[in-house]
Amino acid sequence: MTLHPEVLADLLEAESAVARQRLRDRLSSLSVDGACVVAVFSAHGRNWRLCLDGTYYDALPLALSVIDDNGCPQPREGWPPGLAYEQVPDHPVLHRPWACLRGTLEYHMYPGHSADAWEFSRGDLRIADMLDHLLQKCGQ
Amino acid sequence: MTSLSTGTDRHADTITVTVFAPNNAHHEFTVEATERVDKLARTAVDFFVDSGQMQPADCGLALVSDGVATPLDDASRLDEDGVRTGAKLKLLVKKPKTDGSGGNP
Repeated sequence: MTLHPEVLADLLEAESAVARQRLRDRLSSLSVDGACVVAVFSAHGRNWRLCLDGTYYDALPLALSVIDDNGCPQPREGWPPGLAYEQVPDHPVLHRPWACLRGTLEYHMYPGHSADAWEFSRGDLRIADMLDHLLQKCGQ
Repeated sequence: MTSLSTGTDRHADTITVTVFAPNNAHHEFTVEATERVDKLARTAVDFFVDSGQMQPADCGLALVSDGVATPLDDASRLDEDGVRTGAKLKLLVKKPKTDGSGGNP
């Protein structure tokens, strides 16, 4: 069962407010667009946009993608260096690029993480922590 | 309601889907299109447990298509949730089953 959209919107906004405060020196902007949290930051000489999609939260975790200015998911070549999981570049279930980060849909759907089910950590969402780790992977 | 009197009628009401275990082992299941999501999940778990691919667990299902996973409501019928022949469904562990002799207080 997913959260009621209004509850989800409030949750994402509250989490984003914490992340804006904590990561203000490393993010260019952080906004909530519908069920998505979009973080913009600079690294490796250009701007990047990360999208954490909570459309099916919290039945499923937030789904991570790198998007362009139009919101279109990018192939792995369009991801910031260091972010995509290079050892298994094509996610074996979702068949798209992914980052190995607990709390994301891609992590919890990865067969090697089957013992670390989303159900065990669904009450622990902290978007600021997730973005902190993602930015570190990007060298930010 | 479709008659169950002939094999042809029954065949028209069945779908064949691929269910993926948590470890990504997979198996095709042919089921009634009107079957409830939770029934297919339990059938698949029983199969994968019997074949040593997973431990017993309460599981839900997500429909995976074009890189997007959509959770299915346990109480929904498969056809109501848009599950058709050829669909790929992923088992999602909700909680592991225990035998009751463990240490949980």
